Amino acid sequence: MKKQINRRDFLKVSSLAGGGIMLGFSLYGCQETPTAPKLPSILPAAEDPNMTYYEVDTFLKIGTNGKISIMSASPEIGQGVKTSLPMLIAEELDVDWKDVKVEQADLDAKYGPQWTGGSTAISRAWEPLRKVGAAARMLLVSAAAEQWQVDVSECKVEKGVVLHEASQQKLSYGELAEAAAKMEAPDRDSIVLKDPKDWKIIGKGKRNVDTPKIVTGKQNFGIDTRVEGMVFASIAKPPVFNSRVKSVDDTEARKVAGVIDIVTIDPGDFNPTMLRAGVAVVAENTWAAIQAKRKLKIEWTEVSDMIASGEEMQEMFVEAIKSKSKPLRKEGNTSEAISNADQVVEATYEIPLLAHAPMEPMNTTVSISDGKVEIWSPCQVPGRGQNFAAQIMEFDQARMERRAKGEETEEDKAAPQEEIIFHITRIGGGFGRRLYADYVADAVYVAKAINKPVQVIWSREDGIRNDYYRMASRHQLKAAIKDGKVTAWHEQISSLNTDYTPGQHFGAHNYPANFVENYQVDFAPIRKHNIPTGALRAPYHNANAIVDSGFMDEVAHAMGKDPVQLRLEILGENPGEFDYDGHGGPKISGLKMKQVIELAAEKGNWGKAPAGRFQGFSAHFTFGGYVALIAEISMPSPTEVKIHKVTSAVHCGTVVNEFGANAQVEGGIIDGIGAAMFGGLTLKDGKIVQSNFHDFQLARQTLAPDEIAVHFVPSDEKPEGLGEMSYPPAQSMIANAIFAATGKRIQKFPIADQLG
Amino acid sequence: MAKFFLNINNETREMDVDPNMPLLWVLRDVLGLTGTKFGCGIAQCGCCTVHLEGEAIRSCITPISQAKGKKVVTIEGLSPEGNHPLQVAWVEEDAPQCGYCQAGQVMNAAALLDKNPNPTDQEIIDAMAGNLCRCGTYNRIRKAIKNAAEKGGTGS
Repeated sequence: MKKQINRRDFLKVSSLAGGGIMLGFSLYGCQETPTAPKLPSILPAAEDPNMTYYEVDTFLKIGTNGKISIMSASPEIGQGVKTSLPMLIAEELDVDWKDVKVEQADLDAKYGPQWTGGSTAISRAWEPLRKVGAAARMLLVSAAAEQWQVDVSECKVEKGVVLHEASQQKLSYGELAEAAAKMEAPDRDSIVLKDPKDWKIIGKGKRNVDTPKIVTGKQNFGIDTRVEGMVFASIAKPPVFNSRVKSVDDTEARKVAGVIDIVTIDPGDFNPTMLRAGVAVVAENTWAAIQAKRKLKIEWTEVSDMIASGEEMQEMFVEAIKSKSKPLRKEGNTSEAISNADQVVEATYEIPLLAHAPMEPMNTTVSISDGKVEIWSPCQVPGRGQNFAAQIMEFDQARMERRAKGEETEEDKAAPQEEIIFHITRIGGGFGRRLYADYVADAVYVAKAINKPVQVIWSREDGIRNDYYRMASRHQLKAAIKDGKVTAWHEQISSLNTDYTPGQHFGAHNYPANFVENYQVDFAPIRKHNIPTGALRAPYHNANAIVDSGFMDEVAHAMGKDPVQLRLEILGENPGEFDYDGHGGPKISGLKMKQVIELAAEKGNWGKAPAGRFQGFSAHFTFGGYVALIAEISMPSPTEVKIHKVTSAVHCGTVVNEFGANAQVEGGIIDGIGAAMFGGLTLKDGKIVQSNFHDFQLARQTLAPDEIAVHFVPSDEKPEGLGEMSYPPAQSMIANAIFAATGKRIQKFPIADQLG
Repeated sequence: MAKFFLNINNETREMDVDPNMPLLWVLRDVLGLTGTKFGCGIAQCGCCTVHLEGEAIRSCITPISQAKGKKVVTIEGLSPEGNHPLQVAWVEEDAPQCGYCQAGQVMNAAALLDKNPNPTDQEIIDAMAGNLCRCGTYNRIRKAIKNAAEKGGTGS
């Protein structure tokens, strides 16, 4: 280890010694030289083992020394809920954030619904969790008031201490916890929450509560679960979707050192979002399982409705649009407006299949003994995971529920133990993939078959080739321009949907809906095919934004208008609010859209890019939030895109955690840039061609902008989740910036394939 | 199978494994050191980065036979007290989101600062280009590395 004498210490030493430099230096001699001042440890101090915690609420315990333990019930995927949701409790509880520690809760009905997704956790928790904090504070104040024999109205709280000014008495939460834990919780309807002007925690920046553990190797994710006696397994999956195992020759696989067993997975009648076919290799360690898996010789069944290639897929889309289109929304008469137009703009956008590829490979650990199933999984829908496990185990779920509620019948009492314990681990990224609990079901299946605790791990290749992809889609658009105005906007969409995820359809209420007189969106989904598609970060919007912002740019260019100016003209001076039939509704606000467009244009110096730099604009509404983005790029060559700056303007209601909020906006932008530039999967002979990060490229440090600026429109409306909303427009801003730089319009993705 | 001795985080560990087993799986499955992560298995993501004789390597493609008798440092051993300038900077800059890639990021950055205590922005980008982050924390990682460099970066 190199030791360097630090200049500051050197001077300090020589001045203390009172003498010259020689004297100071000789105190240390040659062997030991002073090092840089020691930095404080980032790890929390060890807890006093004698401290007792009292549960004052399901969500919080208070230690006798005033330490507050808050339960985080929602799965943490990197979206920051493990920090922001406890902030809501801590604010109303009136404690110092530095006294708070956050613990991940297991799946338990007492916490209410514990799934995260759709950017909903923070808005769902906004009132309930603040009431949890307020209710606990009220109990603690009551406990103090009772001890002092005074009225609660005479007491106030400051950072976890209850004060009675009149008598100069005070008691800390630590001293009151035991008494408060015995008291009846107040009626939630009677609780009055703080005025936002009194917030000390909400609206401020609080750091990710798990960073110290993450950067010291102490933070466990699902894949880090270690259980006594466990084995490891990996599953050979069908190369063509929906295929099943016809025959297996496992002779060579069994010869690999460390292999314990081979299990064929038969999904039976289970839905493909629950369980897929495969052959599991069980071994003493992961590597042996993955090596042996490659040596399996498997014959797979033929698949009906197989899509063989991307070309075949596009042909299906073209045909579907021609013959099966049905309007999702139809206002005015777009055909008439188009035939009367001064100018018609037409474009076709092709959006490819996209994989989620979260950094932590899919995995689940399961241990079964005597009817008790214990699961550790990085799963954002633990209730669904538990349900799938119960189905695989053939447990009686109604009985399980009665037992959980203490309402067992006589028959229940005589029936065997059927219990599922679900530990929600920290999740290494999701982007929508962890909404599907197939990776829980297959681990329960294998554990049940081999009767040993087992961790099923998917390789990266497994993950990329056995996903529920962002659906591929085709968008054919026409706009009419007459007398300098956009008089019609007609979009026809076809996409690869799936029967088993009902309710999926492209929205027909995205801007410029409500602002163009003749407006129509038609939809012709393809449902008869074998490709699994599903929710990927900002479902539908991750394609809609590319198309809407791209086509808006095209229309502006055709009109000789600035794209920001055109958007503002279409919105008008006082844009109103309209019904929004889709997730994120019930309303969409033209005013909020205008606010973010104007804020981005102002902060991003729209129209004033320095020489050699080009700007692209995009704005979109996703799940309750409005985001406008400007990318400022240069292109050193026709195939290279250098992103200098991205300016973002966001309306998300109240910003709960300023640090986390910024991070989510930045993260969505980077993800969007990568997806636009490189994201896309290709099909050949019915199989996904890409398999790992060498051929499925993602954004790297080399593509990240030099600078990302995030600006929020001030608001005290309820918070909207920020995990998704910056992702859709980030893809479009790049395409539009490239048009500004080269005159080349990007209508097919990934962009890298289109350049050069 | 063969017997190997390795010095891991200043401790000698003995194991009896296939000489071809990558160091990543020896660490995670044989020795129970799960701080080093599996992301791709083909050295494309950097999650598995550890130090071998002071150099940052991708442990997913390094067979245990190559590490025999050498000094290995993992994220758990970078600074047992949790006060390496990069760890402190990572907290200050609030870098991680999901956190899965971050151990590999920190280990790669530690090797960079050991060799180049005051890297330029471009040097940081080039050195860290092999470490993927799906959550997009790249800008904060750059800031954290510069922050750590200002603190005297190497932690030694």
